[in-house]
Amino acid sequence: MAIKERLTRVQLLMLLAAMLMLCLGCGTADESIVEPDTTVEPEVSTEEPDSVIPIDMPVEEVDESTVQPDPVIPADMPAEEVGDVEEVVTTVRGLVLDQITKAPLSNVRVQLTDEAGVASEALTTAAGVFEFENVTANEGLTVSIDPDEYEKQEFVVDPIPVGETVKVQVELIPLNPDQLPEGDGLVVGVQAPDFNLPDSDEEMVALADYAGKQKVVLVFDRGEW
Amino acid sequence: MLSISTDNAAQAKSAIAKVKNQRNVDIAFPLLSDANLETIEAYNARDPLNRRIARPMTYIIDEAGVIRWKFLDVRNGNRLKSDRIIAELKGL
Repeated sequence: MAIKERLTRVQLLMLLAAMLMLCLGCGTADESIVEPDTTVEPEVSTEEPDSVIPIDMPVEEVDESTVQPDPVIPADMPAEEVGDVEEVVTTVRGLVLDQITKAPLSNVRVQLTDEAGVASEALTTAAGVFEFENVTANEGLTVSIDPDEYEKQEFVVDPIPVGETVKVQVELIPLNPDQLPEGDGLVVGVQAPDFNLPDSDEEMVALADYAGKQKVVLVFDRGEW
Repeated sequence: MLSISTDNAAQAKSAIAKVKNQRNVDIAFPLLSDANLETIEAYNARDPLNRRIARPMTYIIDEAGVIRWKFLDVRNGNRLKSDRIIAELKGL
């Protein structure tokens, strides 16, 4: 009986060793999880086979759930925290300037939109600085700035390396209130550009000829067709 | 009143003659030639569809050289009626 019992113990130990070997071959992350168990093994060999199996089983379960999804998990991280690892956050910080004067622009609304379309907003400080904290890393982000007096600016911030702060400088182009779309003429109230052009008798006529004397009706026409 | 187009002086002359012949009307204001579109461009009056010509557009410029009124016709074939311009002049 004693010999028979020893044989079964040896068989069980061999089985255990084989399973552990398999686990070791699985990848880098499970080595850490497996390691404590390999140290346990010698103790197990001296004890009853029944106590070995319950210890061994959970290890196998953990291996299957953790190893494949996330090989980058730090080796010492407990299994329960694995699901939260993707929530690595970082900061996007920027400076908003007037392109002409290079002066910082305060109170400008800046919108940050992630790939899922979730937007958040920030206002620039008196120093023209905006900041978005707790931005999910490793994702493309769209920054959009659309103040009334400036041209709209929109750009994509590349996926952010984990733990880094993205710093951007935005120069906004002032909208010229005197500027109408192409072909729509000039705005009423501005100074009329001077000209000096030949008439049908090749005599020069300038707008300045009428200055201080009379009003001018100026007609633009497509000419002879 | 001054009119500006891309026509050259010879074309302007023939236009004046044509109006005289067909309608017996004398064009009593200068037809100025802006062949290189310099002034047309300065007044942002270049036709967006046919960039070689001016778009019909009328300005009233006061004695100080300030634009006081502007009429922009959307359709190229349209011409502003003179009584409308006269009414605007009177209003200034």
